[in-house]
Amino acid sequence: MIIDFHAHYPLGKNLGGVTRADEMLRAMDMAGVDKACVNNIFHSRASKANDCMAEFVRAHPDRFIGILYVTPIYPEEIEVEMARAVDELGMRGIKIYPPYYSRTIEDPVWEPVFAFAHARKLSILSHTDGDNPMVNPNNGEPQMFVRWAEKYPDANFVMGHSGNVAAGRQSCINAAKRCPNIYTEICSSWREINSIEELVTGVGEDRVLFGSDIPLMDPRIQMGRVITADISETAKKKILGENAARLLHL
Amino acid sequence: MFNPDTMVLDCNAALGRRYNERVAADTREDLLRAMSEAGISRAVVYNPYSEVWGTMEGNELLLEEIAGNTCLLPQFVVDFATDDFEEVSRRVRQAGIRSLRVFPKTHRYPFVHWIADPWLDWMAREGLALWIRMGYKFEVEARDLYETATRHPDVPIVLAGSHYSNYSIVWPILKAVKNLVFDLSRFDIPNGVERLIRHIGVGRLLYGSDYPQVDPEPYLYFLHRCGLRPDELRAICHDNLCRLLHLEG
Repeated sequence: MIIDFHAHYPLGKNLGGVTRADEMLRAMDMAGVDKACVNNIFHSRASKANDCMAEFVRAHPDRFIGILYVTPIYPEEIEVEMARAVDELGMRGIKIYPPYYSRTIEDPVWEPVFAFAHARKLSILSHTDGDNPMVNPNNGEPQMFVRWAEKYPDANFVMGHSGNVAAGRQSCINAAKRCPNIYTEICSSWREINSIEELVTGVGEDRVLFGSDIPLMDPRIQMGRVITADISETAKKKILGENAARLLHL
Repeated sequence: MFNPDTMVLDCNAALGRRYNERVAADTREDLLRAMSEAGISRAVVYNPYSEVWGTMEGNELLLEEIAGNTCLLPQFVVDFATDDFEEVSRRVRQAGIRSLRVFPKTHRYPFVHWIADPWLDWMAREGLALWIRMGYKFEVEARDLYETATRHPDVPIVLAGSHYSNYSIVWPILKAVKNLVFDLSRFDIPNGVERLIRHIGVGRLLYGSDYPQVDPEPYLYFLHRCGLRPDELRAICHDNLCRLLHLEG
């Protein structure tokens, strides 16, 4: 089973991504993706984002897995909303997007998210950008997850985009070497040479996850990065689905 | 290693060292090895030195790096605002250059007719094509691109490295300006190639790698899974660029 660990819904039209579920399903079919983990990071009211997400997943429960969203901009809503999203809406993981927030991931405001993930044995997918000048590098810097990963060992911390560029990727690898519950997810429009090989060598084939960023990017391209990588067939199968299945308790 | 079903020309690659970072590959041997592994037979290349520090110095470095290897098609970088027209045109002719690349923002001038007209008139006469980078560091304002490109319909202008962040510019401008050509190297949106073919036809699309910043193989893998007919795949990967640069197939 091929699982896309990094998908969004919906997406604004002005970036060219697809906007309808049937278009997403077609793109997934073209790439051979069986299931996509979708999140909605576009509402500051997390309950609105999660309700929207749940409705979307309910229409295609065999193809999409709901991932909840919470924001530290409204910290008082975090714990209640996470419990509701998991217990009532059936969400199977957590997405956070640090660049929206003015302080770093080390800020204590994030702790309830990680404590909840630890208690429920959930995975947290976070945007990371090692030194991407487009984004404040303090937001989503992989090294900053180490203290949380050490404190909450039953939570899995998935570094979205694996830091995007070489410096960020190395930061992910360094963080993952320190903590067995830090994982890397591959989707990136940067598509740097040997990036998949570097991740497999650096963190091991059990801690690299396929993601596409659909509906922003075509999953066939990210799939191509794995398929054409100079790694074993066993590693490719793990990256494309087996590792995600384990993290999602499927 | 990926084996494409058709001959592949890469419209967008760089060759040479950069001042601010060590890239994965910066020698001719590195580039040729990567091309071989991806099944790319020839590539249009420019030298990054000429983007930042000196156009003609970088162009000469490029020719030194290429050292006559016919798999590498040299592309000169030109500063329309400050380069000496006589010097550029002479070296272009001597070196058999078939395309130029400009970096208006990096070189701090607007891509407007009162600067570009003499160059583009000459390029039309010589049958030269022009490359302009888009992407995060896009080099030209949409209004300038539209107005200047429409004044020179005989000069093909390749929008290199367009990214989803450029979508709201490139989508309408490709429809509006027929001499704009699209390098696919950074265009990742779902079903993007199929949508582009419906939007402007296959004849203005080019395969590019954006090497060494980007791994060439995954996008070729992707192009082979876009449901393209063999003639469409060949056009994107080979024939369109041959036509643009007046190359023998």
